Amino acid sequence: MNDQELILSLQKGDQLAFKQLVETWQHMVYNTVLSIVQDMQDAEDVSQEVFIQVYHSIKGFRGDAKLSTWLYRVAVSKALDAERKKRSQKRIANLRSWIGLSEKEEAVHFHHPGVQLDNKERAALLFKAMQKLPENQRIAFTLIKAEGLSYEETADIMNVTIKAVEALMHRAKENLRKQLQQYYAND
Amino acid sequence: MEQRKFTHEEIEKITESIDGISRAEMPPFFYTRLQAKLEKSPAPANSFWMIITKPAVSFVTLFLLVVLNITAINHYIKTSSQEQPVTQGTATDIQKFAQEYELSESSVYTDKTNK
Repeated sequence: MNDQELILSLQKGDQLAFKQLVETWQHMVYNTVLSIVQDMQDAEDVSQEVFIQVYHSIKGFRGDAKLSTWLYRVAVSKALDAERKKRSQKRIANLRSWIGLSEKEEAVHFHHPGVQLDNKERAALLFKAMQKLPENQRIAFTLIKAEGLSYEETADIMNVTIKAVEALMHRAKENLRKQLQQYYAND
Repeated sequence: MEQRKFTHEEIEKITESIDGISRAEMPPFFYTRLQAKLEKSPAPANSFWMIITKPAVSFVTLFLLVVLNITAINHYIKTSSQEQPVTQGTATDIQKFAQEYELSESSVYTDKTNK
């Protein structure tokens, strides 16, 4: 079944088509979300939300973009929403610990399961630094580095030009270098 | 975490540490768990209600209602304080009414003499 046939079947409410969609794209959605939320359980919950949204809104999908592009957009947007929610919860938790209502939680390093063992520590530092990047730079960097997409595919997903993606990547690398220098300076 | 010495080379290695990373795989039986969640999750509500029930829209509507009420009350207070006493007002109104319909005695007299 090609993309067009799959979309038509999904729009008719075909459950088998939905199962095929999930099985084809689950790892892509999970990896993208995981690279942003940096927590295995949260990544699975957000991935479920992604597919639920796709299930409910497939009737409105007009096919302007490729199915994979649309899925990436939904995945990135849901992951960033979850990340914002988590940050605000963290701020509240910090405030509670500051006024003595609860104990302060220790920051845990995220280890992506796809990273090779000899790069594990460096990758953990990079993922931590990536959390502080502005959203657009973070999306571009995640899609290109963690998902291995091309600049062209990333530009399609972000709805910007290839030049804009190049600029975002350049700025993202600069910001990451600055953060890492600060990390070593404070160490 | 192991202490590493700061070098530009090390920073470059860190920024390139996820190049060629393998894709993380979804834990098994995801579709079964998704089906269970999908059965529990209600279909999204009508877009009109989704907009109306957004906190930002609700707060703006509430704010506008409060402003409208305050303006209406202010306007009412101003106009009622500018009004003349009831008796005086009634007298003026009667006079105006009489003039309009030529009900005053003089007008009747004038009419008669003219005929």
